[in-house]
Amino acid sequence: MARPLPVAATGSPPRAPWTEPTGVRTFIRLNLAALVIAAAVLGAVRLWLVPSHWIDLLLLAFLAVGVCLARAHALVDADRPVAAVVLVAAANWAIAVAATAIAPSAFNVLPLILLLPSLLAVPYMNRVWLAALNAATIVVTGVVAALGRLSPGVGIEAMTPGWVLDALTVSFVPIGAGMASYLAWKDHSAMTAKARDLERSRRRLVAATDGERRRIARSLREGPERQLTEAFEQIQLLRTGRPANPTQLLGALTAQLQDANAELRELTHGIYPAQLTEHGIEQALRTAARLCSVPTTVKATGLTRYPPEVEATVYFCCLRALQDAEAREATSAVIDLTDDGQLVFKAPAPPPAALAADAQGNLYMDLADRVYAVGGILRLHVEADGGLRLHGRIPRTALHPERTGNANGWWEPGVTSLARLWFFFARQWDRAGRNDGAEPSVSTGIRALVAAAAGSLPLIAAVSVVVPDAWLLVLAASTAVVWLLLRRVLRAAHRLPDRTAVLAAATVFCGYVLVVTLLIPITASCAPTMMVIPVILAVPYLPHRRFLVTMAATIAAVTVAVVAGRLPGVGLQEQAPEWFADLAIIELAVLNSTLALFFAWENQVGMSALTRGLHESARRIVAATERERQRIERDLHDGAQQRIVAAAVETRVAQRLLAGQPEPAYETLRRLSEHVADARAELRDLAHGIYPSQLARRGLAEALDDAAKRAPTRATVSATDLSRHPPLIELSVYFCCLEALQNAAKHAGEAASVTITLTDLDGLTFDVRDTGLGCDPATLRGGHGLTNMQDRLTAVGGTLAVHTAPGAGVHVHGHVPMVDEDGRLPSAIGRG
Amino acid sequence: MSSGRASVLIVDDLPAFRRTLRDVVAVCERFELAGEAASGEEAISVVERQPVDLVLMDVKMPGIGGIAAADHLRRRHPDVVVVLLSVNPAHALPAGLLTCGAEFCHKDRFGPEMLESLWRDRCP
Repeated sequence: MARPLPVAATGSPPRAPWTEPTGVRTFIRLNLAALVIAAAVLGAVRLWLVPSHWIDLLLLAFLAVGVCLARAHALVDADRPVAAVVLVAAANWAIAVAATAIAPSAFNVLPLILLLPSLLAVPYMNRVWLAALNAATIVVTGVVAALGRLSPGVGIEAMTPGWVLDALTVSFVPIGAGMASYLAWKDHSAMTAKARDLERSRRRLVAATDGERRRIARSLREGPERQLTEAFEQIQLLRTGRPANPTQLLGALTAQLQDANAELRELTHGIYPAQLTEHGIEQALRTAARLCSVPTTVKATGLTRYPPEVEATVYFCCLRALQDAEAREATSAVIDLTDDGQLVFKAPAPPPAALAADAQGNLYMDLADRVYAVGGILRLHVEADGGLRLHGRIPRTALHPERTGNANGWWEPGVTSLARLWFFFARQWDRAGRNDGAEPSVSTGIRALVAAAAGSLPLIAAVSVVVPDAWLLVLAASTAVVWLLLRRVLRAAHRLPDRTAVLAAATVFCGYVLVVTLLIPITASCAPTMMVIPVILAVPYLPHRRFLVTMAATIAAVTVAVVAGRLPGVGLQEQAPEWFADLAIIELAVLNSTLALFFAWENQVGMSALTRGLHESARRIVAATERERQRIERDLHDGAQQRIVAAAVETRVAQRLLAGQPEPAYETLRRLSEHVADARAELRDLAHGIYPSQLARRGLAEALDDAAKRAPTRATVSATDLSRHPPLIELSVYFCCLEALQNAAKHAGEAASVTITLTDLDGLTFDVRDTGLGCDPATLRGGHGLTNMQDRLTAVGGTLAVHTAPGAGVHVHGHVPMVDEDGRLPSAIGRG
Repeated sequence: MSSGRASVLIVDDLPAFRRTLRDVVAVCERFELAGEAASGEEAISVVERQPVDLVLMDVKMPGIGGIAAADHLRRRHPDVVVVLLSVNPAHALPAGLLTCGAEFCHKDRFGPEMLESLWRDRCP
């Protein structure tokens, strides 16, 4: 049993609400309850009204479905919500087909119930699975409709009083309508929560990265750089002061340089262990385990090499767990790493007391964010022995993105014929519903309703050939009115608030369905699904209260429609030939379920495009951070560290020389002082590049002015009366301007000059313009520079635009909106 | 050891550190410079061409690197003493370091005394 990190009861954890499949669990329980009630009703019917063995058989089938549901519940607990949904769906399909075959009138209740598993699956499944599930649902709906209309049944309905059948239909259909609306609402809420959480997580990630930069820069300045300054002063003393005891001074100098190097080495190792780049996670962790004062066992099975951001993330998670075990003087520690398709890593968890004290839920939050950014999840896991362990899991799609393609894209599974069929359906569905990246638009949905009404007109014309009746004129007229009304709503949609437009369309459509049911009562079996369609369409645009009202209205409307279906009607259906009515109803059932699922799908695609964008951006942020850490490690190793060790060796050479020939010793001392001065300059530049210290002290304008002075291109900064902004925003804008400045130096040409303008207007705006060569905007894509800028800025709620043309220079424009009164950064995700 | 002095080959990809090692060899009377190389491959070809008694070699270099070169030299020329140098401590280096038959010395502990003592240990 897994739970989010840290323990949920101890405050607000970095919880990922969508990863906890509570929706599936609740649904399975509700489904079980419905099954028990249905079984009880059926049992009563069997006992007192219809003593048929067919009902015994049906009750047995109910029992089998109950077992399947219990198994699905266990699957949810085992963290496999997708498998659970598939099992629930399969069980429901089987019982629906069996029930309709035995008693065809069950078709009156079932079309809506069959939709539920697909609606339930929306937040948990990727596009492939959802498309396949939708396609299968439509096929099963068709089968059930065909059985309902065409099969004679086994004759038990003839033995049942009509009022029992009516009562069953009128009581079960509204429940189904309520559940369908509720599930659609929950789907959207879960996906919105996921997007919000991702957005927050990405922001924390950037903040944590900045904190880390500050820490590294400070350590470099306060540690090795300070020691080198002292060493440099001593060398100057040796060179110019001619002290009495030069050998002793040189000895002290050697020791100091050794200290500085040791400190730098430790720092470098902490920034990015060279072993991780060269030999991967396992080797790097074994070294870390050897250096740890707690006896540590590292068990690794099946590990290979992974993308650097994954390796660094897993390594630093395990390292932190080890360091914490060391800090609390644990007696032993075990780290488990297994790759059996997905990478699972387990490390010691903090003791329960530490978790309980962590009321804010900050413990390991940064690590959880990092693991999440690379596509995995980090949790606390209760082991078989009752102990807690830190438990990370990174799925296959995140481990080898180049091999598996995008997690939401098409993945070719093994070629069993069943899988082929399944994915054939999925592909057709996906092709029909492809809507890449666009948010669900209210107009698209209303347009579909307009099309449905318009499509009914030729259908009615066709019916008039078979059934020439005056009532058809009434039907045609009301269809035309509905069509016109919906078109009006569509035209007004861009003026009206989304929720008003969608509710107006929903009301008109439900009214139409009611009229059709009154005129042709046999369509009542399809009316509930038709009435739920507008709710599914409306869900993304409704606030909670209004949704509840809408749901209640829908349930009422569905009840009215079902009751209307029991009325005699106007005699239209009796005139039509039997085959025609059957065909029309089967077709209507399939079309309705397609339309309902299509809207749910549209919501999913829009939201998943949003979350996918956020996810990819977060992963890029982690990857960029790791690349930078690797670069810092390399720069330190090849630069300052080599100079310091060279200086240490030279001090020993100087010691020996001073004993004999003093003249060459001065030459050695000169080289020694050069080494130390170079090492110090390198450290200072590196620390400045990692985190410019004057940014915090004196603000953005001065820090950028300083950067402009160092730039190889002529650059000026203009900013008047710029106020201070939160550090996260200032640093983001600083790095974006710096990146733009570096790009100008690289691409604008030697004669170019750059102007950076900073403005305080509803937030912070910056413009970096160069007078260089410019380029074709199409060639801007690709490369880390622009993407980095975009990721950083959007993470703090900002936007970035680049304007360029050949010969016209490059203009980078960025804007970060104001933080609100609570100091919260703006969010891109909202509910209408 | 024609002149009674051991000839030393310096191998490092960073010129600044080669310069420092040259200074160390220059102040030790028992040693003379045999040559310099910037990679493991280059060091092997120098040893093939001319007699060398001792090789001071960096571990991390482009190409085959110090450890593989040391391994090769110890097999082909068992009487050549190879000293591997690195800015990283031994535990942070690949396992081959201990099995290739070369001495190891941390760069910041290196100096004339260290060079002489390493030589004394191997060729008393």
